[in-house]
Amino acid sequence: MAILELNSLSLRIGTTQVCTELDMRLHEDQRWGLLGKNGVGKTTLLHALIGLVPVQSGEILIRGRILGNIPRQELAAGVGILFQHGISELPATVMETVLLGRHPHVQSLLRDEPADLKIARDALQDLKLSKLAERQVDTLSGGERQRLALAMLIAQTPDLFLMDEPNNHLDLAFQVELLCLLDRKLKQHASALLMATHDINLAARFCEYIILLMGNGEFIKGPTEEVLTPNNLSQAFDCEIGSIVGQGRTFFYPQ
Amino acid sequence: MISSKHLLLLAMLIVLAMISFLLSLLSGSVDLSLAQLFGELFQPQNDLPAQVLREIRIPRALAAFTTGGLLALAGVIMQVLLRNPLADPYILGISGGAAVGALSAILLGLGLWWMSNAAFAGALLSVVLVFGIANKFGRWSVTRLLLTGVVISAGWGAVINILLTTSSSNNVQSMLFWLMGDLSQSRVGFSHLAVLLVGVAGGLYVSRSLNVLVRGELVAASLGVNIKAMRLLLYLSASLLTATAVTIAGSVGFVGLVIPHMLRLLGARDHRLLLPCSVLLGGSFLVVADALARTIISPQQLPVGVVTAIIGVPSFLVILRSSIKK
Repeated sequence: MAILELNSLSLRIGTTQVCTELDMRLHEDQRWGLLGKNGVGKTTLLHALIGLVPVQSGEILIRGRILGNIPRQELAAGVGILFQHGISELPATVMETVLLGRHPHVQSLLRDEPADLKIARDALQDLKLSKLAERQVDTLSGGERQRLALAMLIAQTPDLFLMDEPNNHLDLAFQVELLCLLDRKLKQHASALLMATHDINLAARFCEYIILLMGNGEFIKGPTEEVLTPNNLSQAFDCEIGSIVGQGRTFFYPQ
Repeated sequence: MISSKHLLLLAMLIVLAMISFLLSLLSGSVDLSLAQLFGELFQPQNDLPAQVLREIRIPRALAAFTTGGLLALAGVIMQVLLRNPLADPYILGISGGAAVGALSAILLGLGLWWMSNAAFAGALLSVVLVFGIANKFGRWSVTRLLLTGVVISAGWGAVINILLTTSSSNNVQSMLFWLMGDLSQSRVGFSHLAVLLVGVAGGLYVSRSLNVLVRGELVAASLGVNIKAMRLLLYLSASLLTATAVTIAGSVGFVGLVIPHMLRLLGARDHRLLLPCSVLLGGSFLVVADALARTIISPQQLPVGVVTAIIGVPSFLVILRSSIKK
């Protein structure tokens, strides 16, 4: 059974038609990239998948169940999202923040279970934040804050990772490290991932499938090498995009 | 996350609450030593001190503690609901509505019973009005709620001024005492205490969700919090807590705004801890403030709302300063 299944989903936000009659199935251990130019509706589509935005028509199924019928807490235990704007800067320590990722799973009303604390600590370690555990969030740099948001998502241990610009604020080394980490997590937990990104080369390198939003509700989807062609990309981004092949991979660049 | 440091804070606040009660019971025009006080508490005689304690000081300390606890709790909830550090229990116009009720009762020369019930009715009217308008088109956002509340609050302010300027000077005196918050005629009943206890228990029940909610509604929704239900619950419970508090003591300022911030600065950011700590500190704070209000210039009494600001402002600034240094 697919983790996420969309049946002729149409979605509109304001005057923007994000997609019309989109069908897709996202299975375990698959990595999907969501591409398109600014304002085309990538974020809205991600938000719709956890019911934060109403859809026009069509259905969204999570492991075979209709999204609207799943209680919020149960949904949050299975589907996690990384928001583009990250977490607020209210006074809180790094550890307190990452522990919030366990919220959908907590059993005890008042006590912190050792198992949850361990998962939170491991997530901090995964994102190399262990040394900052007691630091205040508002003293962190942009990149550290993004890593904290990622750690929170990892601590949530979802089956389906929805990510909005996961490499925002991250330096190159960390971008690569993040991809390795995500790869490990997906395999460990038989999870799947859908990431919205502006970085075509990152998507080309990491994602097996791509949905390219063209605007006006149109889209092109399929295996990465079929969708990511200079022709499709130029059309989607309204800008001449070329490609070169090197080291066995294809790289895209604006002309 | 709760650590042993936090539990120590909770324990210290419990001790503080006890000390504040003792202090309050000892102060007043009839002198009482600590030994006498314990004697009277555990083996009541039928003499004057016993009567003073039973009929004046204990009910009054209890009223002060309950009011302070209610206001601090309502303050925490409003600050989470509106995600605005400037939010206090009165920001959405509840005290304005209550004031119009209470002042009208004073104007009409009605008794204490009418005054507190008119205050409660005014508060509820305001709650319904703000909610009805903010919710008119079926989609109430926090900003909409805040703006509606602030505007309604301003409207009540105008009515209050009309009442003040058209009343006889005799009435104006008691109206001003009500507006500043005054415990001299306050009595708490079982219902007031029940509201406080249910408020704390209910708050603790959703305290984890509050922890998530302060990080923003999107984050909270993505972590499984039912935002719509939570907003409604928080709005109604903060309203009821505030309405109960103003019914007891008028609009005592400062407690609901500052006590939660003091505790956050002291490290109690987790709502599992912040809620009970707020009740304890808010209650103790008002008990001490009231003891001062009735002794500083005795035999005259000050409205307790004046004292809360006089001792609250410097102590808040000290905590703010030391937390910045850290």
